[in-house]
Amino acid sequence: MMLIALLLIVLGFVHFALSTRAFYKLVFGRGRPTARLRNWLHCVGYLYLAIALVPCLQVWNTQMAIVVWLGLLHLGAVVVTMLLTYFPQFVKRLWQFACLGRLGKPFLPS
Amino acid sequence: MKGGLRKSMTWLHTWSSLIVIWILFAIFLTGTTSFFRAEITHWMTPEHHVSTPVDQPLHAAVEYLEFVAPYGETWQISLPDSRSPVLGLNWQAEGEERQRRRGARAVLDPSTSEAIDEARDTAGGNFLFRFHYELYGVPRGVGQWIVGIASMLMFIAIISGIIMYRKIFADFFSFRPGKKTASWVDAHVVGSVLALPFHVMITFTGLFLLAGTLLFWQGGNERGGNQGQGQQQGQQQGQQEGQRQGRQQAGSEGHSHENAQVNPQRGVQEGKGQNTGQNTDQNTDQNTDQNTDQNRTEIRAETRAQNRTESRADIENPRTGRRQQQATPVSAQREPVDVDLDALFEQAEALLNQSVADITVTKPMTDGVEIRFRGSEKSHLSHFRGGIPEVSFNADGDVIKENYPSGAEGAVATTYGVLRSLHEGHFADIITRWLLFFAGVLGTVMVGSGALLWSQKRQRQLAGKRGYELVSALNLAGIAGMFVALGAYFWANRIIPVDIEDRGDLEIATFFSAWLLCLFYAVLFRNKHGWLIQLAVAGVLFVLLPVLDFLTSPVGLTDAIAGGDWVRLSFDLIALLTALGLWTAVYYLFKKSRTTNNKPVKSRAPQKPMKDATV
Repeated sequence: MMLIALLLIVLGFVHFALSTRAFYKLVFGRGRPTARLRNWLHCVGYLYLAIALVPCLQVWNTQMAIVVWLGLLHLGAVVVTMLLTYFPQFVKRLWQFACLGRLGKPFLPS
Repeated sequence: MKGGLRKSMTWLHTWSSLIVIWILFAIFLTGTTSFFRAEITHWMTPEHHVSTPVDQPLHAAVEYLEFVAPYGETWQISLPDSRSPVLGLNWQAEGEERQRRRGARAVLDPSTSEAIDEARDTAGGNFLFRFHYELYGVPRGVGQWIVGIASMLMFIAIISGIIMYRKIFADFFSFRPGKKTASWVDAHVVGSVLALPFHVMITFTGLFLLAGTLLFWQGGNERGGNQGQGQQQGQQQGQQEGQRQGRQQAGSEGHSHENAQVNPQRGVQEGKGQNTGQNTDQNTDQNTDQNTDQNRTEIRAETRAQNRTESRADIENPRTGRRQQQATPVSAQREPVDVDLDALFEQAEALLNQSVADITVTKPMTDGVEIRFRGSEKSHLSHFRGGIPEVSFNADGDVIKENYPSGAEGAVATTYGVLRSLHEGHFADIITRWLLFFAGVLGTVMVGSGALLWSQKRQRQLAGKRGYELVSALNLAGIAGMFVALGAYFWANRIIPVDIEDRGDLEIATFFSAWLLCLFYAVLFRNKHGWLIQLAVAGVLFVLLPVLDFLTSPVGLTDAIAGGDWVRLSFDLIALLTALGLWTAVYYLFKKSRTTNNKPVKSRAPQKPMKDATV
């Protein structure tokens, strides 16, 4: 359960990462994220993070689950940072194959 | 105006943190390790390593107790848990009066049912824990002031840091190694921004816990909050007691707090332990009880057990308070009553809906037996201590008392409980504990990289100036030296002969002499590969820790793996990871010193975050 939550959080943060310029460049080659794209990615990202609370709630009681969830947010953020630094291609894969943010076709650059 | 604000905030951030940065580093490092206080103490008590978990340790305990204290007054059994694999017992033999401090006790290896010999005296994880909030060697109050002021400045640094940092979102995930200052900024930002909620939480709650010491006008009551008069004495004794290394457990003030808040309004349901304990023993043992009672949640099973008997003993007869007076009414019964403990145990676990952590048997083997099962987990975050559900049975196996606490009473108690629990991680299971530990490591990275950032940024202009050199030396001693001291501390635990007097204090002395040595070294030779050498020394110490562990512990590596002593193995693993990180740093430093031979080596390789991530 915790791993599921962590995975969801990592995927959520990948969305946030895509809205920064460096990673955007890596995925789309050039340009910078538009405001619309950024908003869309952030919405989806927040959704991921929020959903990650659900598996936590399955295991722990409410108070504890929130603490665990926050702890996992820290961990997830660092994991994404380190992945972006040392394995950017892997993060690109994650984006291409595991992120619902791709469904927002109208926002993505062609 | 914006620029002006940022500029002043940058100034504030830089200097407010710089003056306390090394102490903050030490606090963060030792505080982070304190999340694993019990585990460290287990590692540092190799005598306990022989113990291996079994399915039902209860039989071993009861067998032993029936032998040493048949028809005793009380038996108290703390079952092994994930943090300490030994079975702690203590008891009062038949007709024996309750002891003031320590009753008869034993630590059993649950797999063989044999008592483990008296374990070595060690400062254990408690030293690190106490150091992180009251330092050492200075009067307790002064230490707490210093730590309190340091946390205040830390809080200022956090807030000003948020304001001054322009690209907080744009750089959220960026970490660019190998770019000197930029890398250090990134490391600092990764350590701080990504774990910001944790930092705010830990600093604020830490400040809150020490708040009482910072209010100079509140009449010398350094515990904060409004305490009952009766508690004062208990605290003072608590302090003295607390000074004794080795025996001291959780911060002695904590418990008194709980009492103070719990006591006035609460009836039987909730703070029952404390409440009744006090009512019964008002005249005699109140202080000792608080003292010992407070330790309940923490640390060594044996001490735990010992403490508990005392406190438990009071509780058993809440109404009559008979326990004190009844010196020798030996029960006439010689026919042991047959109680199916296993069945009761299962029933209790089902009722409590969690695993049982300890069991108290009053008047064992007689008809009047009462068996109390206590759960292992808190049901709510708002309980700081207490709040653990329990259920009692009589000889016929009927439930006679139940207590499922629902939460602290009152807004103040709730707030206090939540803040304290959050800071100390009392609620934490193994996963949560690791998460807290990880966040603590990030905090350590933040402080360490911040310190190095300061000198990195000023290296060009200021090198050679007195202030700069002082900061550099302190950086070296405060960061690399801290690791050396920590490594030396763990080494001392195994190397100092077991039967020596005041062993625990010697361990602490080793810690500080190693640190002092590093400081002298740093001041004298800071330009000559100081980092390289100190990190290498720390690296050697840590990489050999597991080797030392298996050489000096009665249980070897293969047996430990077979026995599944994961508490100990994780410690060794973490030591290895720390060593790996230290050696990585050494490697990069070495490479760097080869290429830039003429320049003083001041900054460490950007790999440092990786290193600390494994501490």
